[in-house]
Amino acid sequence: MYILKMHATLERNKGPTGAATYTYRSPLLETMEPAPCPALSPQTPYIPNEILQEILVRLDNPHDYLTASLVSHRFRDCTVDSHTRRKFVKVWFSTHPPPTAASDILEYTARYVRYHYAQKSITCLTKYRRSLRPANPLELTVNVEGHGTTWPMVLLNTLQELNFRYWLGRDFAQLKSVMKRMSETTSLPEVPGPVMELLHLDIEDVATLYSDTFFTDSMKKTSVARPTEYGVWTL
Amino acid sequence: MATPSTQATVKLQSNDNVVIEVERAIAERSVLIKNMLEDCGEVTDAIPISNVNESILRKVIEWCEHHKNDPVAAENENDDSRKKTTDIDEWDQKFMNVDQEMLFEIILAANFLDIKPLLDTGCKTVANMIKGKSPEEIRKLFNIQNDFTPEEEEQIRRENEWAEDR
Repeated sequence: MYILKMHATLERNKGPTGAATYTYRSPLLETMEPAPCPALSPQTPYIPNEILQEILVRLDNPHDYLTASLVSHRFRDCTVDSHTRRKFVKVWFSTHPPPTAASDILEYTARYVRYHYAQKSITCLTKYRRSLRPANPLELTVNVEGHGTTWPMVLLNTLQELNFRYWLGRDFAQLKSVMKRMSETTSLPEVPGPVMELLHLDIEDVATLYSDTFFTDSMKKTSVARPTEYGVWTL
Repeated sequence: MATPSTQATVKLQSNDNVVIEVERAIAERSVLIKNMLEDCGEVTDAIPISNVNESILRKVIEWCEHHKNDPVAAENENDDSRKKTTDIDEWDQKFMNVDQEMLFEIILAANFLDIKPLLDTGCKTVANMIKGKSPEEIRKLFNIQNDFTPEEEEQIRRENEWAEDR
């Protein structure tokens, strides 16, 4: 909203007795008029979008977040905003324990690939629609070598790698670098926090995790190799 | 240039020209005021808080007083300061139990004065009001006009459909 970096100043005046007096001046406070911004309703004061977004990111439930997108154009603009979506995920993860076990995070990564594979080049709020789920998803194998320190991502064959490259585009390189960094920075079985950030998760990921009760599963620390109706993700 | 000041109180002036004297430590819950005081050292004049009126300013000061002993959250832009809890503590809940207009005024004042925990509490309060409601109920709550055409609404509904069934 406002960037409050301007410096207030003190002005030195000669008082009538000759002693210096100081006047506090803040150019900001003196000149700033409240910026015109849309009101939610005639009764409520002017609420800038930044504040509305602050509210939306605290909804703490992806379904409520998506519901909010149906309220009005303004709400939709705010929910679609990529910064807000990202922030929602960040807040969500700061209030819900993210998976920390290595196997969980790998499953997580695999899911990330799957969703983005399905979402490619579709731009709508959720991007992910049932009809667009791939009928034959690719298989992704990630080796956790006996809880060693290397986590190479192995694609089953060159053709699949080509497919991945095609579908994921730049995300493919990113995914690879994420895996690389995971292997460099982690000592199994715990995964450091920064790795979560590198995954660049979106509201879709959270909504899906939420509805799949992924976290309930991961809490039990029973991992992975869960066949889904869309295919098997071997980890 | 910033000399540590021993000044015990500061005066704040609301936009309806009411001057309120508060303990410096309390006023410094506002990062905006804190930075000003640090930059200026001694400030004897009232600090104009140009877009906050008296009743809201008093309310904000009341909050700052109650929370004056809270540890100041680390000043990094990571939002980790609001860790773990989506709940609002009981005192804050009571504090935020005001009409909608005042609630939004408090949020705006917290934003302007840069009091992050108060902004956080305020936004959470509004978020809690929205939670679990249908779009129509949210519109009613805030008296918002539905400016979607039926086609647009249908399209968004279809986009969101996948998330509905769990």
